[in-house]
Amino acid sequence: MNFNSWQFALFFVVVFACSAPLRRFSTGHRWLLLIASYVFYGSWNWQYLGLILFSTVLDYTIGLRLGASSRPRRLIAISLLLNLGVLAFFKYANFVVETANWSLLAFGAAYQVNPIDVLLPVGISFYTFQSLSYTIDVYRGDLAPRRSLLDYALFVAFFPQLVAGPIVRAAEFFRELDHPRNFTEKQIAYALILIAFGYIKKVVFADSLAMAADPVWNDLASSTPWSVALAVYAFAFQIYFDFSGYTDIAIGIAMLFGFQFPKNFDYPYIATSVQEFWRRWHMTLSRWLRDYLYVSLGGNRKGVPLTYVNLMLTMLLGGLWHGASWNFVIWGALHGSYLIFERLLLNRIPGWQSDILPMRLLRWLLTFHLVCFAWIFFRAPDFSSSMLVLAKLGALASASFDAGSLAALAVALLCFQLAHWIGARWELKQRLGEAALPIHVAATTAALLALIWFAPDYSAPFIYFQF
Amino acid sequence: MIRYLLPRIVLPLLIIVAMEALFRSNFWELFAAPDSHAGTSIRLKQAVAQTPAKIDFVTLGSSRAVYGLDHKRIAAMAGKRGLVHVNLSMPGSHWMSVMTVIDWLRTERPEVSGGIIALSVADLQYVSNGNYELAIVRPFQGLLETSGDASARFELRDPSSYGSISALYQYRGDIQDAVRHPLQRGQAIGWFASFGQHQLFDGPRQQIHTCAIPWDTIAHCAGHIAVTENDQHVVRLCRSLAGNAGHAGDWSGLDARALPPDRQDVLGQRQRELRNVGWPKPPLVILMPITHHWSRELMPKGAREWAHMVLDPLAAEGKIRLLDYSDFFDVDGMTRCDVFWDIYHQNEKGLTELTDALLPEIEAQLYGKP
Repeated sequence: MNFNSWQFALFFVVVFACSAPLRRFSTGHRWLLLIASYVFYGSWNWQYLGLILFSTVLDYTIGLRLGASSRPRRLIAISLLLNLGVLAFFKYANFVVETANWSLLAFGAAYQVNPIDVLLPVGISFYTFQSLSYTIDVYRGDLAPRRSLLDYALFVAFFPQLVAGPIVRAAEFFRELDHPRNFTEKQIAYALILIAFGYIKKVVFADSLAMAADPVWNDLASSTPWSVALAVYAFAFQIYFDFSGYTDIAIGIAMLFGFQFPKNFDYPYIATSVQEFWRRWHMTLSRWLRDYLYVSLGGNRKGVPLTYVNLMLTMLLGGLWHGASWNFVIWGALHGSYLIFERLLLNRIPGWQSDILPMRLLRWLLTFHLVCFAWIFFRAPDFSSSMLVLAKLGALASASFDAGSLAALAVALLCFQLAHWIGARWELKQRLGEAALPIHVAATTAALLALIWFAPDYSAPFIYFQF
Repeated sequence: MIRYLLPRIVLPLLIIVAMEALFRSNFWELFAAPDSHAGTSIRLKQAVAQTPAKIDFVTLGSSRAVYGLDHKRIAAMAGKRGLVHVNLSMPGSHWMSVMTVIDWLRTERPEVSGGIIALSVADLQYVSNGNYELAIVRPFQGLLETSGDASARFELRDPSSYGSISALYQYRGDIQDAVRHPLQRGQAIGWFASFGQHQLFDGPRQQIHTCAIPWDTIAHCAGHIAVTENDQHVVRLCRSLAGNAGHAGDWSGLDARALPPDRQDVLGQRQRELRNVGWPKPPLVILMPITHHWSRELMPKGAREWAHMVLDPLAAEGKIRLLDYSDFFDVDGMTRCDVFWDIYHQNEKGLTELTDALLPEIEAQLYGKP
C-alpha cells in the first residue's frame, strides 16, 4: 500500500474517519492507530508483521528490565545483537554470500555458497533503528522505560513513518502521546499543504524525472555523455523529490492524527558544505548516526585523528544502512572523505568560508557537485555501471550536446534548483499554511490540477522503500 | 476545526468539477495544439461545421486511410453525381474514434447516408488500440457524453485510462505540450488556421519511398544505418517494433464456435458496433494494404483469417460491404517498397494505384451508377 495508491487513499479516509470521534490519544485512539498500522504493514506482507512484533516485544521487555537490572550492559548487548542480527540476516546475508563467493573465486576455489532465498521486509532499517534508539536511550538513562506495551508498539509501528521515516526518537514520540497538542487551524492547514506538496513532489516531479532519467540509467552503454550527465543531475533531484515528498506526506498525515514529527529535509541542495548538506538531508538519520554511532565511537572527544576515523566509520555504516552493496559503501566512504577533506583542508584555506557571494556560490557549486558525484554510486546498479558513468562523464568535453532532446530536461533541472533556493528563502510551505482562505483554495486547486495534468503514467516506487 | 477545513477541501473540489465541465464543453479547443490528436479532431470538426452543403458520405479511418486513399478523387467522383463525400480520416483514429465520429455525425450531420471505414487487418486484433484515442474522441463528445466504448476503458490502476471519464485527463497530453512549448503553440494555431478546410479534407501526399532500406525483415530494417531523414524515421519505427517481431502468436486454428474470451470480446464488440452504425447504406469497410512485415512478423499468424471471421458474417448479413486489399501491393509474398513511405503508410504512387483500383468499387458499392 504505497502512499501514492488509491488503496492508501481509501485506507487513510477510513482510519481518519474512525479516529475523528475518539478523544486524541485515548486508549481507543491508540488501539485504532496501532491496528491501522499493522493493517498498513500487513498489506505488503503479513508474515513480516511477526518481525515487527518480535522487535517490539524484545525492546519493550529489555527497556523495562534495563531500569532494574544490575547488568544493563548485557541487556543492551542482547537488544543490539538481536535487532541488528535480524536486520543483518534479511538485508546483508546475501551481500555476505556474494562477497564470499567473489573472494572464493578470486582465490581459485570452485566452491560457491548458495544465496538465501529471502525477501527484504519493507522498512526494516527504519523501524529497527527507531526501536534501537529506545533501548539505547533507556540504557543511557536519557529516557524512562515505557510501561505501556500499547504505546511502545505504536511507537515502533505508527504507519505514516513506519516504512521510510522520519526516524522518530522514543522521547519525541512519547512526549506527543503524553502531552497531546492542540493544533491550531493554521497548523492543520499547514499539514494539508505538506501532504499536497508531498504528492506533487513524488507523483509529478520525482516520477517525471524518473521517466526521463531511468532509460539512460538502464542503458548506460549506448547513452551519450551529456544524457548521462543530465541523468546524474536528474537523479539528484529525483531522490530529493521522492524522499522529501514521502516525508512531507508522512509528517502531514501524522499531524492530522495529532503528532508533530521532526523535520527530515531542509532544502539540502542549497548547502554550501557537505557538513551543512548532512544537516539538511535525511536529518533524522543524520541525527541517529551522530547520537548513537558517532558519539558512541567517541565522536571528537578523542583527538583529531580518531575524530576522522569516527567520521569515516559513521558514514561507511550510514552508507551500508541504505543497502547491501559495495556501491553504498563507496557512497558512504565518499561522504566520509568529503567531511574529512572539508575539515582537514578546505576550511583551513584563508577566505574559503567568507560570506561574500562569489565564495558562497563557489562553495555551493563544489558541494552540489560532490553530492551529485556520490549519487552516481548510489543510483548505479553495480560497480561496473558506476565506472561506465564515470567513463561517459570523462568524455563530456569532447561530446556534442543534443539540444533538441536534452534542453527541456536541462531547463527543468535549473528550474528545480531555482525553486529550491526560492523555497528555502521564503519558507513557502509555512507561508502557505498561514495564508488566508483564497490562497489555500488556489494552492489546493493548483495542486490537484498539477496531479491531473502533469503526473506521468510512469510511476516509480518510493526509492527509500527498498531500504 | 471542521468549519475551518471544509471550505479548504470542498471549494477546490468544486473548482475542479467546474473545470471538468468547462473542458467537457470544449473550452480548450481554442488553445489545443492543431497537430495533436485532439487538435486534428478539432480541426476536422470545425471544417465540417464550415461545410455549408449537406454531407452524403464520409471516409473514416486511421493514418493508413489518410495517406493511402486519394480523397480528392473520391470527392470528385461523388461530386459528379451531385453528392458530397468528405474525408474525416485522422492519424491515430481506430475503432473507438471511428465509432465516436459516427455517433457525433448522427446528431450533427444526420443527412450522412453512408461512408467508408478504412482500417486494416491489424486494427482488428484487439478491443482497444490504446488510450491515446481518448484524446481524439473528446472533441466529438458533449458535456454529459462519453462514448460507450471509451468509458468502458476506465481502469483505476492505469492513469492513462482516466481520460475515459474525465475531459481534464483527456487534454492532459495537450496541456503538457502547451507548458513545454508555449510560444510554438500560438504560432502553430495561426499556421494551421491559414490552411482552410479543403487541404484537410484532401489529405497529405508523400513522394518518398522506402527502397533504400533493407525491406525484407524488421530486423534488417532495424539494423540499417540510414542517411536521409525519412529513412531514419523508418529505421526508428523498425527498431521500436523489432522487439515484437516474431512474438505475436498464432491464431490460425481459431474455431468460431469456441473462441477464447479475449477473441470473443473483440468479435462481439466489433460486430455490435458495425451493426449499429445506422447509416441508410451499409458502410463500406476497406481493409487497407499492409506491408509483409505486419502479415509475417508483427501480427499473429492467421490474423487476416481472424479479421474475416469478424467481418464476413456482417457482410453476409448485408450490414457492411467488405473489400480486403491487405495484400494489394504484395508480389511473391513481399510488399513493394516503391509504394510505401514507411512500414505503415503508402506514398503518392501507392495512393494513386490503390485509388485507381478502388474507385470503381466505391462507385458501385456506395454511390451506384450515375
